[in-house]
Amino acid sequence: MEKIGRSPVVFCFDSDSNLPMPNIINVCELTRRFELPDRDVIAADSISFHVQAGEVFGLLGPNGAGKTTCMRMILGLLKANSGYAEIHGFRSDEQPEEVKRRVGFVSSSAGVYQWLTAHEMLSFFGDVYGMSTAECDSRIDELSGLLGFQEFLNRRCAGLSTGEKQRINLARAMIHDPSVMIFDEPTLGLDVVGSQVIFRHIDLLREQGKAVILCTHRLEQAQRVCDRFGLLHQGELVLGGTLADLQQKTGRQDLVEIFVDIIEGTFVSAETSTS
Amino acid sequence: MKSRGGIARIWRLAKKELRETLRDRRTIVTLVFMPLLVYPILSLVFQNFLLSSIGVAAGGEEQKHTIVFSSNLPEAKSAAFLEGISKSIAEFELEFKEESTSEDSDGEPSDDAATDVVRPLDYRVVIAENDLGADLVDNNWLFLEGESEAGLTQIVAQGDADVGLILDIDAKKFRINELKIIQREDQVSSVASRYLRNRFRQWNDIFVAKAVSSRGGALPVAEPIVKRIEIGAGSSAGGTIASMIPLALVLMTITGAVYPAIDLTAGERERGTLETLMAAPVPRMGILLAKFIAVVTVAVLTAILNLVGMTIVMWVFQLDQMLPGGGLSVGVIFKVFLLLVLFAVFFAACLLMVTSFARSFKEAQAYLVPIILLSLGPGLLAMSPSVQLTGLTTVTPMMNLLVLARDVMQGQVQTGAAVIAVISTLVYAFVALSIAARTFGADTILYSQQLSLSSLVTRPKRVALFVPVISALLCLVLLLPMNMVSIGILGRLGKALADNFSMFCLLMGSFTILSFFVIPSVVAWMNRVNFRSGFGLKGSSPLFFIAAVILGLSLWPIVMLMVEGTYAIYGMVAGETAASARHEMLVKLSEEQVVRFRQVSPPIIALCFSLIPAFCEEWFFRGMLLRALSREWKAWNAILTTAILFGVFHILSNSAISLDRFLPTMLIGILLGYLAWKSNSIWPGVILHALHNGTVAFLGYYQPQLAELSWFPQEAEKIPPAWGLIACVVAAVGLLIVIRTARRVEPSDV
Repeated sequence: MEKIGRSPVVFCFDSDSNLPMPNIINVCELTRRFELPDRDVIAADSISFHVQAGEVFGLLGPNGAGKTTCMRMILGLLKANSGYAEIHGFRSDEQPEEVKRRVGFVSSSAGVYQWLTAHEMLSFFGDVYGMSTAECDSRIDELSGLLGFQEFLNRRCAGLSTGEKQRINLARAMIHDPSVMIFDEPTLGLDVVGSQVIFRHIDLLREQGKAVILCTHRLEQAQRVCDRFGLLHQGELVLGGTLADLQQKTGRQDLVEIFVDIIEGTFVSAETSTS
Repeated sequence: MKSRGGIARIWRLAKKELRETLRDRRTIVTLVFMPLLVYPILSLVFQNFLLSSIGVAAGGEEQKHTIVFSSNLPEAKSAAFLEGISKSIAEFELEFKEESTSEDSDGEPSDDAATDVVRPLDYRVVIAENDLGADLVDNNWLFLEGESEAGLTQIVAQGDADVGLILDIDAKKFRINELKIIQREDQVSSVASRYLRNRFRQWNDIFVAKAVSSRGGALPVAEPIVKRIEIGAGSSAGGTIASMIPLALVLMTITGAVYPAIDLTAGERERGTLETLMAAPVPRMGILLAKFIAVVTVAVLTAILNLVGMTIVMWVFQLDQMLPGGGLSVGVIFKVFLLLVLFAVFFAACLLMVTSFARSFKEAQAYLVPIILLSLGPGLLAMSPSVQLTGLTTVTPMMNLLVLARDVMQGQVQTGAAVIAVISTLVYAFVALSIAARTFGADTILYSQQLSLSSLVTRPKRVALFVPVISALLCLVLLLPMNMVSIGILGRLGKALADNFSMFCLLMGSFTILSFFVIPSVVAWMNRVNFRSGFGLKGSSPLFFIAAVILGLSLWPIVMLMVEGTYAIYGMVAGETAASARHEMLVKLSEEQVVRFRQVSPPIIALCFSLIPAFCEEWFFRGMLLRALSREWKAWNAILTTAILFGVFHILSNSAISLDRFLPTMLIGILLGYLAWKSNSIWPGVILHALHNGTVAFLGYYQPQLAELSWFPQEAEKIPPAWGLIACVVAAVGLLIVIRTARRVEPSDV
């Protein structure tokens, strides 16, 4: 049994520079159409980006921009019409299990098993990820200390508050210590303190050298926590780069302003005219 | 993840599902409280309502009986005689009662006593129209002049009368020389019979009493002979129990399974735990199987608790003694339990199939309510005592198991029909689970908004190269009852068309076309499938055709020897006498067919026994089904599954003969599947199928002529084993060609 999620970082060689670049997540021209009875909707239109170890990539965009679709395709939950996503060199459409083994996934819609205790639920997921009971128990100890949920470890999940549930979910996603974390609106419905726990933890993950993708609407926090950004609008990645890059390209200082520009369409036309 | 074992993993997944479900208060309610409440209530209802209406409740003898009788005398004289008896009993009773009341002298009103006693034999012929005003105590005496014992027996057996009576009257001596009572083995009839016997015995008693006081002599009525008729489920109370109990058990099992099925699929999706599970490295099928195991386990637990509850209640209320089979033995309870497990497997698969479509708890409930109501239909139909486990009933889901359970409780099971019922239920369960596997957690259902039951009926916009598996399986589900209906119609018309067997053959051919060609084609059209790729209509390497010809001409001796081998095995298992009896029945059956068969002209034989079945069966099995399955599954799994289904359809296609043909048919199915997969075309298979069927049909057709030329053994003789050996060698050459020829792959197939 191979050690899940603790495998060393695979270095991918960038074809242009021939320099070793630790691109752990590699997304290439991902495209997905949804067929509705009356029309086709393009939820993701050849989206490409990459994330390195120790980097937090913020995938931002208004509701319905295609962020969640994109996350699901990266994880192999949803098939792409064309293009692909790679995690550690494993393509999610070809070896979804290898990909899932290396990724922790937290989403706002993720739930908990209400009839199981937090400990039982975490043990169950440890087992699903192929961990032994001893490994799993020590990991639960570690995570409960880190996220502060020792006191409700043996309570049934049904009785937990939203914030407590989200902490259990975060622990659930990290039970196998994955090298890649994907957060899809992790702070939805959480209060300021609850969100704070999550964002502080994302900082920690960066320090640990994980590759992180973060989708969120909390732009101030995103601006603080993310190293690079991709701005999605109507399935297209209209803008990408560090905050400095974005400021330079748009002439705006604040992420919120850039975001509003995109939604109102003022920016999209400018970008298409320049490129 | 494979390193830690598929089955162990699925079991651990299932344990989590079970733990979650069993902690749920709602599960506990259906699991424990329902059986505690339902069976006592059910039995009370049964005792007070049903039984009293049949007349077992207290004062059963007050009941009005319908008595049919005949005697050696004409009606008027018989009537006079019986009225004579009636009067003599009445007079005596009156006398006796008056004496006793006068002795009592406690001042009871005497008219009360009189009304109480003036109803001894109450012989009065009541004509059906006139009995409206008749007193309830009066019985319906129907005199059937000159009716034989057999005639009366039939009337009683059919339930048109409660009891039959045959009298040999000697009017001069005022004596009944012989008295025969015909009764059924049920409550109503027993009570009527007891009534008659008591009344006649009373007359004897009176006579003795009188004789003692005055004169000696022989008793006026001979000792009654009681003839008991064994009847089937009938209208008896026992039969009602025997068919009501399985229905109650099945409904309770459904109740137990429904909630976990919804909760573990749609419920999980709604709570958002399904996506987290899908994000983990477990195969979708593994998750589904774990859920399936959990639902089946809860359903079986419900079944056990219900069975225990039912057994206790039946024992306490002594309802088990009313079962015609002689009560509930451990064996019967165990068999009923096995049937419940089978039902749980079947129904859990169906539930998961439906709930996998649903995205929320409410949606799942909305889908399930009509399905549960729908399943009540066959359930209630199975209550009817006239329904037997034959024909369409054996493959009607739910109904087959209910009727089988009833027969088990009555101790009268027909093995062949039971096997078909069990197999068809397993087939349905398998199909349902396969559909569930397709839809469960599929991204289209997990995420899309415009899902998806409607997508089964609306044509997609894009042309597809292959029939989707779900549609192929849907087609299979349509074909099974379709096939049974056409066999039923053919069976009915068989007698009418006995003189015109050509017509019968053509009709059979048309049904084959309808089932295996038209229905799959419509399904493929609905899916906008390109027929050339969807059914494998392109040509292939000539080598495959050569192999097909070799195989098509060489397989028949092997098949015939195999059928003989099956007899030998059957003989070993069931005993020589059973085997030879079965063989004789088969020979007799096929002899009749063969005689009629040889009156048909050769072109019709070729069309109906070779060309049509070959083309149509290949069209569906190797064309649509195999090609759809092999897109999703490993090739050999697809080939084997198709072959087993091919074999199953051939078991179901005739009544008696075909059970022995399952193995050879399945093996030919594997061969045809392999050929179709290798050649990527149905045409070599069509050639093989047509040549094989044609050879078998025409060897039978021309057997007398061939035997005369001593080219072929006589009817009763067996095929020489050497022929089988030669055939094996030739067939091996054909098979080798198929194996050695490279698989033909279209660029579009990859």
